[in-house]
Amino acid sequence: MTRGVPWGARLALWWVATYTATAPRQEAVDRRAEIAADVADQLRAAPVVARVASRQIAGRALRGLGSDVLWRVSVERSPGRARWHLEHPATVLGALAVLLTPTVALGDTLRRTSAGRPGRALVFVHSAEVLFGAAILAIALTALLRRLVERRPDPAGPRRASLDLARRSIALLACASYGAAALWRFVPGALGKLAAAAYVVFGLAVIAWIAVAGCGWVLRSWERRNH
Amino acid sequence: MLELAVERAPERVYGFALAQALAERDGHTRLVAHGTLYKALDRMRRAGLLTAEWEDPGVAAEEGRPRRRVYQVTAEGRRALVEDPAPATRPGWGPAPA
Repeated sequence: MTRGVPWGARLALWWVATYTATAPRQEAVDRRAEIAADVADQLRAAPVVARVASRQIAGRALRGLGSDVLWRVSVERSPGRARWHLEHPATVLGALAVLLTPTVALGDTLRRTSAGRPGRALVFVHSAEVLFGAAILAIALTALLRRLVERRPDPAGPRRASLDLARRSIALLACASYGAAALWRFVPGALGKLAAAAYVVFGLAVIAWIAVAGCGWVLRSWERRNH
Repeated sequence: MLELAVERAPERVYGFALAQALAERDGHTRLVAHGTLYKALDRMRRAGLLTAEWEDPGVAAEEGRPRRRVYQVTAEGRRALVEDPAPATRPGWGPAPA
């Protein structure tokens, strides 16, 4: 993204880069290039007022968010994707954590208002909480085991590699602890205590992730300036 | 969408031109969303109704713009349009044509 590109175009290009970031390589390259060509065509076709075109491009990007997400899910049906996601679990764990957050908030609201008589909505939301939480834990655990069994050298260089590994491991820990906290937070006894501890770990992991990601960003900027 | 691509044959169509043609046909001032348009094109390509290829980089460079992905309706796409025009022409983001 360069200076001088209208904000609407930058938004559309940023969004396509974001939702294709971990998509299968060829599909991602094609989709990004296609949107870039479309945005450029719309800017070229615009009359003198580029500001209006910029707003229209942003509108086209925003109105298509749902379809973009559905397309992204559909490309995951290609062969080999399940294995890829176990090797790089951040996308699936992030998506599940994004789904779990409003589910947990909705569940808490329903529990407050149900006054001891759980309705059908609460049963449904609780099932979703259990499903998302259990899926997060299962994927995180499988990915962790795979990582321990198959240790491979990282081509990004030792310093970058350790920072990336730390960031990925912390993200894994954050997702797993969030899943555990959501799953067992109302269970009495040891599991309830474990959920409380997991929630504390989640908070600490988020802080640590921000710190490590910040260090990585500084390091990348420094490397770019010096090469 | 397929109908518009057939109308423009043998000329090959690309995303933005299709979005403009659709808005013109339906009398809309807004162009169809990126996600809706390219998801529909991708679905039709996977179904074998369209073929897609990237245009010659020289042409794009000459005009000072990024390369376009151009689409052409296949024989199967034409057949689908003749046999059952409603689902093939329905763009997927508006009401079905009456």
